[in-house]
Amino acid sequence: MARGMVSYTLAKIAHRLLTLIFVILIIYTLLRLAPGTPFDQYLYQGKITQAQYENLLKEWGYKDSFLVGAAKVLYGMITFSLFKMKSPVYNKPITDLISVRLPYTLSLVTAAYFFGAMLGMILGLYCARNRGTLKESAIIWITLGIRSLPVFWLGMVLLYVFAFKLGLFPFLTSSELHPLNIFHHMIDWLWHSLLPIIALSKIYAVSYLLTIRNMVSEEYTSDYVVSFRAIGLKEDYIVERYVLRSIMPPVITMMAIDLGFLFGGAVVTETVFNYPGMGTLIYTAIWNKDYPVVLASFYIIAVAVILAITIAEITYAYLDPRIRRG
Amino acid sequence: MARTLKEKLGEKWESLKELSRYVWHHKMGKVGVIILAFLLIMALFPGLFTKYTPDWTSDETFVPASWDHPCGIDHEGKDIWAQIVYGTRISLAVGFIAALLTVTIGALVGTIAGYYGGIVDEILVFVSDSIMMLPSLLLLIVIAALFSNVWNIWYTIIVIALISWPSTARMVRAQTLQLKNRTYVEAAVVLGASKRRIIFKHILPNTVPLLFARATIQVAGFIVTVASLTFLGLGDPHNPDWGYVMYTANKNMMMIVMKGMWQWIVVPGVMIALAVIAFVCLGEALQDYLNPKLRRR
Repeated sequence: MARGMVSYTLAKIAHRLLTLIFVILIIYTLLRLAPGTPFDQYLYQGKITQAQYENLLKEWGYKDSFLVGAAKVLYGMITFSLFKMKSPVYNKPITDLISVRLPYTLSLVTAAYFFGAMLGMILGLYCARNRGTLKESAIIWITLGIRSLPVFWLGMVLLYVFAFKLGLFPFLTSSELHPLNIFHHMIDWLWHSLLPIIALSKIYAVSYLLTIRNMVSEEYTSDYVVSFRAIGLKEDYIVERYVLRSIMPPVITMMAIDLGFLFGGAVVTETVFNYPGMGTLIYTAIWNKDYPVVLASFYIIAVAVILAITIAEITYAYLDPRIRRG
Repeated sequence: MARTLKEKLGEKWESLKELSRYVWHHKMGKVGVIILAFLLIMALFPGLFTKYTPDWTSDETFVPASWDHPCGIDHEGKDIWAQIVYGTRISLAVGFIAALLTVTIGALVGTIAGYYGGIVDEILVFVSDSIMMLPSLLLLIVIAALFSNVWNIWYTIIVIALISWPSTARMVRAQTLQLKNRTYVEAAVVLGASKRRIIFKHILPNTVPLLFARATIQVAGFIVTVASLTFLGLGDPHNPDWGYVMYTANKNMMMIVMKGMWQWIVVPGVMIALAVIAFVCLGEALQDYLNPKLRRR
């Protein structure tokens, strides 16, 4: 372990835990401020009496004061009993709901992420090495064009062309999807998820292409590359040994941060493709006023994002000792 | 060395002329200016582009495109092209106001955090870090859905700004920290200038130009964000932007396929793409202008 790593790591983790608590409390406050409960519609439809309604509210904790509720949420966060709570709408434990949806979102997000990032990095490197050529500017202009297309719109066009017009892909995605753990269903999964993956990976392909191109071309103008070139080192060798290595730390950080933000894009994409992931779960849960599900889902997302960022920061500090000194 | 107002204005005018000359000769800047001019004309004078209004209704529904109705007629008998043309104003205005608000909040928070330091700085950095930890689009969707019964376009703008200011604040804070120790700021402190005067007279003027370039690029992102929100049915139905046309398109996908009304899907997307290209190109040009290192090249 490099010097100063332990104290740096511990300080970071403590800081991030505070952030996590703060973030969940923000979400909790929002949910408390929002009007309505899941039982309102039953009351309006006359399915339950006023007394039953009051009872339900009390039973599900809607009558708690703000602080008591917040304390319950914190307790649930620390002991993970947040997930054992039941959803008042489905009357099922939240774990059951999330464990069905999470694999879909994770597989979609990871596939889109790696596909997009790889494509973007390879093309970005290509562009940086061929700066000023016609091919490079063609790629850049096409990229800028693609960058400006909204993901959900791309999704709609893909659905229209490939699912509705050509009939190559299913348009009611994954209503017939099977558990992912069996290998031969992977093909089925791919068939159902390819269009959402393409739509979602576009964000990453584009942003990585531009960033890598800018970083590498900036690195290319630096003195050490010029002098290596002057002493006659091969271009490939310089790129592999030195240029890629020096842009690694920021790229790793960027990748980790993006991984968290994929969830935001995933909600919209999942809605377009009717994909049964966390995005659609959160979305329907909000409409149903199913707040425990929203809170638990956000907890998972926040943990994932914060974990990714913390790991990135620690890796960065490990790779670049200047950071540790603050 | 008091300068007259006329001289000051003259200086501003000269630098503005230099800026516009630079942007116009910048490859991306020119593209941005041309597209933006087109969109602004469409936003200000929608009557030039369509003879129908979004309120006009026909007895027929789902009519495919024709010369009279370039994008066809939708499920409610409304002209789709008219909805898109009149939506330009809303999309541009929302993106613009949201970006302005974001930059204002970000600049203030960043400067205060950077200049005052200490516990103020720590709290502000903690809050902005925490907000950055949440996927902003997801958060916006959640807030819009939670308060959907009272939601309107102003809430969209305000919430976007409240979610997006941290990245700007972070940038401004870093710059303030640098500027704080410059000799001219220290001289002002010695001369007894108040903190407020130093912030507004000496620090903000140095960060503002870069913020404008950033805000220009942010407008593009916000136009897409608002369209995504409307697309999910969380927009303001009284102020339909481009996303609203896509929302109805997505709802009526089956009919679109049967009647072959692809313009309903494609045209609003192209409009958003044009707006994004315009603002991104303009922002890049401004950034290049403000970065003297790049300008010499």
